[in-house]
Amino acid sequence: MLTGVVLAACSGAPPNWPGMQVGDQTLYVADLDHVLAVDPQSGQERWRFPPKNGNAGACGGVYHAAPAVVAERVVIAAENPGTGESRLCGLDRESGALQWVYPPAEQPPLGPIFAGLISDGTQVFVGTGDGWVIALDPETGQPRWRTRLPEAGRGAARIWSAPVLSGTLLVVGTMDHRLLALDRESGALRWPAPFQAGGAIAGALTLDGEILYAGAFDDHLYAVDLQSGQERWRFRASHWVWDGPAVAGDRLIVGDMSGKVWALDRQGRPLWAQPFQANGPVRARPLVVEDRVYVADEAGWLHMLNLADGTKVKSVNLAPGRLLTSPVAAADRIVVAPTGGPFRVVAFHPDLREAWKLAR
Amino acid sequence: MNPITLITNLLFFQPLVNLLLVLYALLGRNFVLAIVALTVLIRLLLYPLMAQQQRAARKMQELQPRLQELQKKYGKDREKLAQEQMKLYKEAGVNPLGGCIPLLLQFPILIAVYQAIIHVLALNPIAVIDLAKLLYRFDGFPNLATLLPIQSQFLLWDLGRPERIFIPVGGILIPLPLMTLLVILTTWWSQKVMTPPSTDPQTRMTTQLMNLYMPLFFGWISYNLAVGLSIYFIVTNLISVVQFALVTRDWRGALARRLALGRAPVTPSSSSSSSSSSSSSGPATPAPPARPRRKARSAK
Repeated sequence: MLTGVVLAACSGAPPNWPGMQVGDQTLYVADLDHVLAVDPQSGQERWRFPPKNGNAGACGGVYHAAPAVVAERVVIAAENPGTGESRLCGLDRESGALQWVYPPAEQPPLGPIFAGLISDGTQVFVGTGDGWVIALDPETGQPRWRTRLPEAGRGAARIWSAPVLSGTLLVVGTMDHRLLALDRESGALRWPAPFQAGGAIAGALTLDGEILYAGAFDDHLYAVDLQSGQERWRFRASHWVWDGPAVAGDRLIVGDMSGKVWALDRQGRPLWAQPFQANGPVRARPLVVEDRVYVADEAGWLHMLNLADGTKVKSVNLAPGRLLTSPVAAADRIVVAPTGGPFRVVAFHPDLREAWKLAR
Repeated sequence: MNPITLITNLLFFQPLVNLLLVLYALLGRNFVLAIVALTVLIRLLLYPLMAQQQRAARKMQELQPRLQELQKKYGKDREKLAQEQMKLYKEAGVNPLGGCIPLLLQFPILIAVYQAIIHVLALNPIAVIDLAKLLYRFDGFPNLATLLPIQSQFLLWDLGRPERIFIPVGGILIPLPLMTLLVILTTWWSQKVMTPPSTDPQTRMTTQLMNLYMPLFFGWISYNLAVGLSIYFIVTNLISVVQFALVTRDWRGALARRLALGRAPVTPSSSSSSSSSSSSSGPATPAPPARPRRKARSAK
């Protein structure tokens, strides 16, 4: 009996870290029980979904995928915490009121959605944990197309990272080590063959002109030609590379799960004399604002570095919160969303003086 | 991380996670086989503990008639009863807690196995973040991270997700929780096989309730958690029965006699008359000590 109780309790951990998106001077945070719209300058809450004492209906559950903001809508993913199945929900951008649900309550739900949602201004795109890529009309929630990736359905082509858009291409990374390019209008596969990495591609992809950067669990950062899907170069890190790099002028800033952070040139050659060593694994893409690099680590530290040489300027600690979500810049604030701990969102001035914070 | 968690991780959890991944690589990237192999290995390691526990249960079972006599004789004098019971235990060389201590020692391992399966299945990003810290990384050791994600599809099931199989019946989708039913069935069977029959009506009632609730409880867990865990439960239950049969040398009892439902519970009198009916396959008689029973058979 004791074993059973402990086993049941073991399943209660959150499945993912919070997702953040900035749109038109508003910060949207999907964090477990709520999606919040917050003024990034003051930290004042504009609305929350589900509203206090309100019913979320078919959009009840937990929220962690970064929302997409397009026209009058904020599109979120709601996950049933028991089964991992998800639905997409369109909220009114001004009030947070629920406008539509996809699939509707009477239809089977989608697989788990860990990846953030993205938009090109007319469509919203999302990848699911069971290998579907879906394009939706953000106003109505009607699907424009749905594509199941090759080999999905055998537990393989799981998508955990947000797709990226470039011209007519939509590129997704999968847990089974692949990058695939789809046609943005039809969902048809575009590259002759998927790009094959040596490890799972779980994190955010970085697009930089005609080059796509992807981190992988084989300790490499890959640079891939966007049109052909061929490898340009690879950089060997010290551990898994989760998110792709931040692009800052002539350099790429990338962290790995050993806690090291590198600055690379466009050929993958290190630029700093030595990598910066954080206090915990660096899962999230660093944030570059002017000549400063902000690095969030899993031990709860937010570090500010010099972009020029990687030397540390200042660090602040938010433990017991773990910083797994990439920091975002909004309204002259550096905003982080800890996983766990007492605070849902913490905002800093650019010099890392605390500006405001929202308790859970 | 607190020191207890750290030690538990270092001693149990981390080795299990890495062992499971190595087995997965060695067994053709078949996660079901890896779980089966891991369960068998753990059971082999725990064999001395399990055998001790089962022997203790067996001895306690054999003492039941004498304990009941003491109960009748000293039932009103609790202090005297306790003294006489302890004396009896001492004479028989039985530690009344002998069955519990090995069981308690197994808990950290059981929890670690569950956690290892769940982490290796990499069900969600947080689990993989934790997994990243657990994989061994040293020269000469294979980079196990390249094995991720685990090929989690097994026949109809995705081992990393709860079981959700439906069949259409008259336009309505009816759930068909096959793995859950197997967990319930094997849990019930292993409980039935390994629970010693009791002469005390209250204990017997409690046992019957436990034999009903525990399979349902584990079935509920299985239906709501990843199917990979159901595989572990099923394999564990089957191995437990086999192991019990090995320890008690009572294959017939383990595999057949206790399967039947609805038969009369054991009583001291039926126990004493069991030799005359030992050739029947009915479950009404308790599994007698193995050696005398084999002698009785050979005498026939």
